[in-house]
Amino acid sequence: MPLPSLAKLSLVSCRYGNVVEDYLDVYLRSPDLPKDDITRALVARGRARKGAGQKLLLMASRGQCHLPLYCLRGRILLTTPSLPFNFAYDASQTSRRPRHSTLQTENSGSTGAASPLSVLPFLPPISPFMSLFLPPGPLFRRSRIPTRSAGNLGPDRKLYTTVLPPHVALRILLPSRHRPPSHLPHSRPIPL
Amino acid sequence: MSPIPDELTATVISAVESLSALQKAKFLLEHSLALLEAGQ
Repeated sequence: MPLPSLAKLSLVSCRYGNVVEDYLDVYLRSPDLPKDDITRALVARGRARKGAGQKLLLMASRGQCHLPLYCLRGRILLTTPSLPFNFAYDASQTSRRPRHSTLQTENSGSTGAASPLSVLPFLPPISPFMSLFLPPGPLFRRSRIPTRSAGNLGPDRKLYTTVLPPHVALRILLPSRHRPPSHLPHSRPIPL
Repeated sequence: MSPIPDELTATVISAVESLSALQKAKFLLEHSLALLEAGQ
């Protein structure tokens, strides 16, 4: 049943996804680049990745598509074939320090993150062996004990977007930075 | 093989080929940034 909307979604988000991701990947691999330009490329890619991921989360939370979401160490991890990277969303970081959330997300998806995982439509439960293939982003750099500071998202588990617990749903639905955190989701895509 | 490109495409390709590596990279970056701008 969710297949048609997922197909539509892929068309929408892959316009960024594959072409630009490839371009920037090739660009970043070329030698002797000026530092300023590397920064521009990384920032642009990070923002675009974040935006694409947020759009998917928004659609998922509205039940417009069927996405595998995982709660992992207090973060929402989204893996979908329509994004050429893994999108990790740190609920606790964003709600407390909105300014830094962009950088966190950017760093979490290195180009090498186009590992086998991002091709799989569904992320299998992460075993210690599988975690060897995960990008060394902030999500996996150090183990985090699920504490209250991790956003009370509960233990590591798969989340079913159609039946998200309210406190998780509210954290996924990012409020705009200029609005109070208690603000309920609005219908437009989130401005970056 | 790919079909024979039209004149404009061929000219653009040869123009891009004549660029230095750094200029090519720069072109790629600018083009990606433009695509991102247009997409969002």
